[in-house]
Amino acid sequence: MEKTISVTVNGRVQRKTVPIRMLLVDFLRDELGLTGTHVGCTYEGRCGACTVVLDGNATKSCMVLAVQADGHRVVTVEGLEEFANAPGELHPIQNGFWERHGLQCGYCTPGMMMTIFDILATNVREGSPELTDEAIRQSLVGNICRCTGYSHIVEAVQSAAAQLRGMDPEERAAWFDTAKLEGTRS
Amino acid sequence: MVQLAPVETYHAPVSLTECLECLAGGEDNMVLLAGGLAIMPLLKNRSLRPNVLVDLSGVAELRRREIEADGTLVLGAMRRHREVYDDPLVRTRWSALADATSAIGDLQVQNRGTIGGNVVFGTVLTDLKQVAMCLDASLRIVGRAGNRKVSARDAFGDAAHALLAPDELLESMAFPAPPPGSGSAYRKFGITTNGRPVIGVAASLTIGADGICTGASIVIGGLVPAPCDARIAAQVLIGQSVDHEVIAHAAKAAAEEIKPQSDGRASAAYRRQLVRAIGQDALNDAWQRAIGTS
Amino acid sequence: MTTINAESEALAVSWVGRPIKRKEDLRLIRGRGQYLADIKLPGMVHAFFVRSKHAHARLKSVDVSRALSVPGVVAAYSGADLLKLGMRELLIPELVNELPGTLRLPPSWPLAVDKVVFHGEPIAVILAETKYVLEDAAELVVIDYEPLPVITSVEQAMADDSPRVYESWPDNVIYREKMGGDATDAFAKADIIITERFEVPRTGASPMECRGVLTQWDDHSGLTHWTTTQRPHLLRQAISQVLDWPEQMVRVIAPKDQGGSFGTKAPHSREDFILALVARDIMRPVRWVESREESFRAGVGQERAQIHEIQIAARSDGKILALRDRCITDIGHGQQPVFMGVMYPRAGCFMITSFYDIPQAEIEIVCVVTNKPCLTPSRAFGSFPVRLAMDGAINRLARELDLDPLEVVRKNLVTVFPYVTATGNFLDSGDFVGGFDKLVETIDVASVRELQAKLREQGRFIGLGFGGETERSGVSSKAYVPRQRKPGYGVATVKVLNSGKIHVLVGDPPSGQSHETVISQVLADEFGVTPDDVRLDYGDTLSTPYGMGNVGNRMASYTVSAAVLAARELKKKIGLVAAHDLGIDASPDEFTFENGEIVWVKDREIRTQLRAVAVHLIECPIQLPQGTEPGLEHTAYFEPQNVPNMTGASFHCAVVEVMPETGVIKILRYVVVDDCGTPINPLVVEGQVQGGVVMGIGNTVFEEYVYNERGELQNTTLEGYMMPCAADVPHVETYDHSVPTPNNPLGTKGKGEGAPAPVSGALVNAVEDALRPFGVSITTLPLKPERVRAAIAAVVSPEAEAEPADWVEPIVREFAGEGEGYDVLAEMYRFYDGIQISLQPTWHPYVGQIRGWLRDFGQMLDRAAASPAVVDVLAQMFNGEREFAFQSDLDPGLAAQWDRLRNLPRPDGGHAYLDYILPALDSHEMLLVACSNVPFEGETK
Repeated sequence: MEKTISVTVNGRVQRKTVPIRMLLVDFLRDELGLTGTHVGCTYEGRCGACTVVLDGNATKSCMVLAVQADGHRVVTVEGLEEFANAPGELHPIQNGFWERHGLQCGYCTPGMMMTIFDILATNVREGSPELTDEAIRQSLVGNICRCTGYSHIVEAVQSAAAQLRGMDPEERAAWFDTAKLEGTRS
Repeated sequence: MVQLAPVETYHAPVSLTECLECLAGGEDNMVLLAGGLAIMPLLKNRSLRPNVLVDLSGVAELRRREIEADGTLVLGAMRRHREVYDDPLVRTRWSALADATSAIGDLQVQNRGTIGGNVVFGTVLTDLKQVAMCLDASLRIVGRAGNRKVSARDAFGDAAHALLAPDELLESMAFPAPPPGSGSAYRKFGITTNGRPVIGVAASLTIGADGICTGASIVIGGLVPAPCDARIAAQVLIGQSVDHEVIAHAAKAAAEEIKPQSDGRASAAYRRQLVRAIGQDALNDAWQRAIGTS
Repeated sequence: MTTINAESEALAVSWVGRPIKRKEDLRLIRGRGQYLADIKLPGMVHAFFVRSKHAHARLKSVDVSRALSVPGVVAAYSGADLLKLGMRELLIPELVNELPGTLRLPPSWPLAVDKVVFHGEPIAVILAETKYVLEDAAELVVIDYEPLPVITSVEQAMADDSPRVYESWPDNVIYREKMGGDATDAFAKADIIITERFEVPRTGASPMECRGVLTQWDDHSGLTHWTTTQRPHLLRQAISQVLDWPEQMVRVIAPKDQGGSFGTKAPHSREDFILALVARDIMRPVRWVESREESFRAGVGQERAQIHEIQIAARSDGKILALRDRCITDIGHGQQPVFMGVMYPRAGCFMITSFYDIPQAEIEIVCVVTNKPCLTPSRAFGSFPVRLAMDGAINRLARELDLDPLEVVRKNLVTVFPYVTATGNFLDSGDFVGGFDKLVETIDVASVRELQAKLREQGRFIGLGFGGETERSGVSSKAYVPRQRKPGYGVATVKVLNSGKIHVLVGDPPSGQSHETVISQVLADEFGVTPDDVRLDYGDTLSTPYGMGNVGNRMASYTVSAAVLAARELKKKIGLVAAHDLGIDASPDEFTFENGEIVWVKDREIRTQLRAVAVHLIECPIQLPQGTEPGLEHTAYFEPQNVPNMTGASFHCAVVEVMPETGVIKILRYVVVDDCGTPINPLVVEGQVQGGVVMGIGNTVFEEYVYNERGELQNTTLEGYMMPCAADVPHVETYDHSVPTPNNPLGTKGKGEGAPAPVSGALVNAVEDALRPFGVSITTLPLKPERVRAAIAAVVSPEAEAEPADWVEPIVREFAGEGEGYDVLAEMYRFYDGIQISLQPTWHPYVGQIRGWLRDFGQMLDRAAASPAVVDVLAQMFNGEREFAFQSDLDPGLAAQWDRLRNLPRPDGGHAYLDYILPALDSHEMLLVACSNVPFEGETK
């Protein structure tokens, strides 16, 4: 009925004994108190508000059991700032959302940003080519927003991509280097 | 219902042998998790109440990707959709497979969902069955009693046909090397961008140097109980010098060949109409790709 | 503290009108928001509602005792249990509007007592230590239903011989009203009369965060009740009134962050009352977090749902003389306090003429009850269907007269302000012609028409459509008090702190509308400080002034105005003390507030710190000017003087391409020109408009809550409901054409509410324009591709779409029945959008059991097939013409086998038959049917 698992969340190793039936999203919210990850559709895996980055890939944490994350790396919205070099500095994705009014009620925002983390990590790996608005919209189909109408979210992604493009390649890559998180923590 | 019923045991095997042991010992009340995207909702609404859960994602053999000596592409059943379409070779040689995997659900689904899970889970609303049939893929199945191979056409073309015995597992899918001058494509129609296919059309064409079509396959999904291999429509193309008119004619033939049903998302008549429209698009894409590689 | 807009700080220019970054965002983008589900209290238990599986049934018994045996369960209550705790009906006189028409009141128990009237009505509530245990226990609650006839449509409800939702009523009509006047004269004089019937289904808002409650009782504080609400102060009153608890012993708190509301969190939810009662009973904090499925089943955000039989009378030049409309609404069960489902069609019809100068209107409103959840408010309150009716009818008029629809619109715009419409709606200010012309210019109509003609020759079809509206910026006490006995005023408490920083308290909590930023911009200007220096708190009845709620465009117009009035009152006091402290003979209004200083306008060298004056008044209240009270706090109330309300307007134009082959609509451009008085933060205004338009696109093109004839919602998932995602919608272009209202201090008007409403008209008109060569008329939503294609096909090639003569449609039996097994399978079906899952004997998670059962049933079916009489019975069962049960006299052996199977026990006490076998049988049958594609053997057709 229960199993002891060890999950690296935002660079910290978290060891807990949890029921087998516990969802990863509940593990993050209820066991670790990381309430930035939200639940919007409750069970079907459609809304995307619970999206986290699991081993580098945007993943809906309501569609994964906590026991399945045993031995894996998870980054949540709370981890975004950890990529920064100085405390208080925001991730370019966070900056993009703030600059371009990419959120209203903010409920879908953490999941939205974690999907974008995956999109921009890929973009950076490919040498930061320009993204079309259309491509951004296509990559965001797994996240529903009911407030913004999406235009400002697309602008937020463009803003984040532009910030990254202005950096040298190493600095750019560092914003997505999850191994770096573990280096700064122990 | 939104929370799973209690689960007694969880296994995360790391080898195929271990998997088969789980299967043999798991009896009836066991659920296998591939990507989990189709199963998880059924666990949460308690349609399924397994005592045992087996997560296949740690089995390295099931995630392999190999090109065999004859050019056959072998993809492990646990290969995730995004790994498939991110593969440049898949994109150029088995384009329909890249088209389909990149059109399944959304980025998060593509990151987690597996090709094996997509075709094995018993819903007709998949994108990959019709693609596997169209590309003449075969399924490699392992079991305690031995291994066997079955063609996708046989496996998916007839819903009454048993795919797996209780102690069997889909190990991989093998896509033969397309002949020179081939191109393939997949187009689907969902009501929203990431919806399940109301209609999905996989097409592949082989075009000779003289522009004459020497091979064609059109397989249509989104139908109950199984995808339809539109053989008459394929015959419309073979031996013809392909142009837009011939393609339109073939799509129309395909639309007449299917036996669609009505449901909450589309009427039978509309499904037919969609095959006319989407079928043309899929054939056009396949044709362009075939010419490009000629 | 992180500075919001450091680069702008030094600039001594107005903060109002600037697109500054939001103050709310920093916590939200870091995952530090405080939504309801994020709040935990020590000792907290979790709540779960067991909800009705029938849309209409008498409750013969409700037994929660077995649920209590599950380890971790703390308590379980039925309606009877709550009666003992003092549960009362919700529709007390204080929570019912006084309306000009005839209104009937249904019974309204928060937790069902003797009968249920919709599928999803709460019947029992379970409390447990962990949320995972709740559903284990919920499965053990035994409810004995006696099903009653179910009414799910207006037609059924209004039929003469219809069964009634409420047996004591003479019919199912809950409300009737005549609005406007008599239009007979105008209709007699008209050159042309347009008649059309528009029908808009149930769609609505559905925010991303569902509802939730966290509530606790202690004997000192009384009830402390966190809840997702737009109206904490009114809910406090309602809880006190309904439960008969002293008002001072009830404190309602809206969480700091709410994941959208759009009207859905304005009603007082029955769950609020139930949970307050049980929390007081167990003396522990209780938290309930609603699931999406619950939310959908409860009808949260289900609105629209109006039928309009509209007529307009016009001259041959397109000038409209009068309109008639009969608006019929299926409101569902109607038990919701205050709104009752009848307020939306009323509000919509009241504003039907919007910015059109239509001298006469004759409107009839009819609302009927059915066995569906009650309609709940959704952004654009009542107006969405009304706009389709009005703008759609004008489009028809133009078509009939062969005039350009835009010309007809322009000809009928109101030009003189103030203006009172034929229904009595008051338009205080605006420039409708200017706004409209700006829209026409922006969209470049001439070039769209040119392109349209060119593309038509190539067999491509684009079109352009107009929609628009006026919207009320809040509603004043003059309008509210007679109806609801509630005030309309805006209210704000402003405090200048010792440090010269500003603290603002308002009663009405936001849910994404940027209150913190907007209030801070406004008060930064008033006090000559920066937005960083202003803090806003809201939504706690303990600390904030009584407010009627964050609804209906009230923030920018009413609340902001109250804050400005409070600030100005304080500034007078500050000016008085500053003059005194500076030793100058200056009147209080001779000071300006700049960069934290108070500057004398007559000699700018003479100045003092805001902070110094604050300290004098608050901390060191000696040597104050004669008669000046210490302290620097003020609560101000705002009502517009002499006018009943203020009016904003918006003008929408869509350019679409319709793919004739598939019926797919592609929105090429969507342009909005808006009047929001004075934009406080243009970025925020743009966000409100874009979000509202996309909600409107969803409501128009994709979304519909579909109920079957048993009153069960068919799409209980977001996937099934099809809210649009980023790739489904276009970028929405917004342009400003604001006309400040003279009726409040800053000229501001609200912009949160209305944006979805004009979308229905704009898109439908654009699609009709695109398909003009086919002469297609669209009168119902959503504009699903299949519907559009069918409209085209009906004109172009009716025979081409027809099935071949030898075609036999596969029989797909409707899945009907009662019991858990049905529900489980129905749930699976819903998840797969009604497509049958073929339980083929391939790998399936349940293959073991199912295979065994299928084998047994297969044998049974084989045996059955040998007997024509049994086949006949089976056919009837599959047709839903009889119960799934065998008569033993038909085939005793078979009946015994059937009984054995249906009585197989399950460890948890359920029926294996109901849970698994029947679903399996059904799937098996469907598989056979689908495979053979011909009528099932023995089927009589």
